Amino acid sequence: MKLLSKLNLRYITYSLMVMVVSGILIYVSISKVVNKQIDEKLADISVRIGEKISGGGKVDWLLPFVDISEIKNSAESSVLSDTIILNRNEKEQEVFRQITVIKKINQTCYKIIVRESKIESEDLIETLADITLLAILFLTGTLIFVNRKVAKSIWTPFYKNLKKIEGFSLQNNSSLALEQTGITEFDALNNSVTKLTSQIITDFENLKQFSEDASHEIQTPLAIISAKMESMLNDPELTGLQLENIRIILASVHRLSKLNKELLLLIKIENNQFIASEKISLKKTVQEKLVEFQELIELRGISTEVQFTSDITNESNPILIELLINNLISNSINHNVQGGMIRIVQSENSLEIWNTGRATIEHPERLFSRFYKENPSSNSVGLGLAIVAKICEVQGWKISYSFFKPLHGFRVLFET
Amino acid sequence: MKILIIEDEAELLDVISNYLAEAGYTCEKANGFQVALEKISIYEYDIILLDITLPDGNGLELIQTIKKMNLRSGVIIISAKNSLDDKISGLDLGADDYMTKPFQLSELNSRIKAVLRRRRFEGTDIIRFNEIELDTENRTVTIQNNPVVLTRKEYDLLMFFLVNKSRLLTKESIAEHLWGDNIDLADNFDFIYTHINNLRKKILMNGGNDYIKTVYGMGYKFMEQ
Repeated sequence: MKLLSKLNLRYITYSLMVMVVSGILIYVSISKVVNKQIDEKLADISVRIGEKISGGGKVDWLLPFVDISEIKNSAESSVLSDTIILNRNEKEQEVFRQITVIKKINQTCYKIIVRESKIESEDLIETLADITLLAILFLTGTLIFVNRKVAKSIWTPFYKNLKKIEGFSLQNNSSLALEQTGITEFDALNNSVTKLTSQIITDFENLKQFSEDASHEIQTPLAIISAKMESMLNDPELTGLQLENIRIILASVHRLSKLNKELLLLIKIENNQFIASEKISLKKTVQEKLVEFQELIELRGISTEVQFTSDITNESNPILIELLINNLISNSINHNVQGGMIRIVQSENSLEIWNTGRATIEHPERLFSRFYKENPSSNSVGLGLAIVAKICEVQGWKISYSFFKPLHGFRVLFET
Repeated sequence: MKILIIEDEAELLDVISNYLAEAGYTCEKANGFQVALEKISIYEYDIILLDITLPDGNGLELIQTIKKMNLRSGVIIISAKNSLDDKISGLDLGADDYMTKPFQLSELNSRIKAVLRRRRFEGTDIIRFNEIELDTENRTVTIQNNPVVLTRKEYDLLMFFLVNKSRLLTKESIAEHLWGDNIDLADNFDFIYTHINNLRKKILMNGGNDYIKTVYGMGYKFMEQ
């Protein structure tokens, strides 16, 4: 639930509760005031009637509103009460407020009853209560509306910043630039997030730099080993066994250096160091690569079948494209069988490279991970497809593998 | 032929220097930017091998200095960095070649020869070994004055052998020389054998001798019988 809706829901609940309570309070207090006023009015009228009688004037009165009668001597009193009187016309009961005053005027004892219908006053009370409630309702509504509006404008920079944080990635190499909101709490949050991410970026940069430096530093000792071994090769006094050992050392150094170079390449692709981009014809690149691999293909008696339904010209980095195709074709040759075949199909937005191969792959899901080798005895470094996957990742392409006996296929989907 | 080797790693400096001395070059060593600068301003070298990451300066600046002084020296960069930026800026500044560490000494030797030929320091385009003659200008081969038709790879292979005569060349270094780094030849050394066999046959068929000696399991040696 959004914070705004939650806030509004709370607002409405509390407003309703306040409205009910204040409604009751208003009704009670208004009716008290009105009743008091009626009582005062009744008392006033009764006093005036008394004055008129004592002045010898004639009092016109009308039942049931005023009722004057002479009674036997009795103590003076004044009593307020509610009474119910049958309405003549409507044959309905009507509630009246009445004051019964017993007063001695000029030696005569009078009983003066003054009444007033409560219907009117009740109407008044209801109207008053309605108006007040409406006012409260309107006020609450306005409050919620204004609140919503203000909250929206206050929270807008928060949501904007949230979106920026969500979009933050170490890959695109840019630090987080959050908007100043002018609200202390938000700005404090922004500051901590900015600090945190810049720390992460720095750490990540350091790590990348470290891996790159380490890879470079390894090359020099490797060069020394390799050069020393190579110069030893020509020592005429070496025995066959020693020569064999040197060969093994040299081959291992070669492999180590290749491994190192490919790891470095992976780091560089990951670091987006291949940024230059130009329009590249995929068809041309594939054809050039096939020429380069011609010898290997012929040597293994592999037949090739190439289909271009249309040419894709991609706006991308030429080195990455070349690497991608190089590794895929190289893979399709290395894992092929003697006398097998390679089929390359390029359609509008994808490139597929199929090759005949040995058995089913045991762990197709690990095919693109680093150092995964289907055949552990192979001398290959095991980074070729990891590099392919990394290139696809940084370029936003999709790579997939499928197997339709006896063909293994890799498909690169360009536009996604 | 005089070569200046600029490399801050003493061990590597020694081994390169010894190897090239054995190959018949006069080698001078410089283990830093300042020493190199002094040597360059005093002596003239045919080839300068340059490690661009030096402790007391950037090797790329040395190339600029060499170009400013109008020296005729050929420059080959040797670097631990494979960075394409370095490669491009190095070659843009006028370096003749670029090698990434670790490299094979035989490959280094072959690159030096190529730069020397390109700069015509050796005075001739012909490489001769007994009855075999290689015209590097026209990329043709004759044996006892009879032209031999070689494929591009076979020509490169023969050239690599002639430049590194009497040295044991491992299959790895041959493969790397002929195909570069790109092709993953991990399990495919057998096709070097095919090329060697073809080359051997062509030389024999045209009246040459079999100078290619197989060192079992190791590689090949091109030498007098």
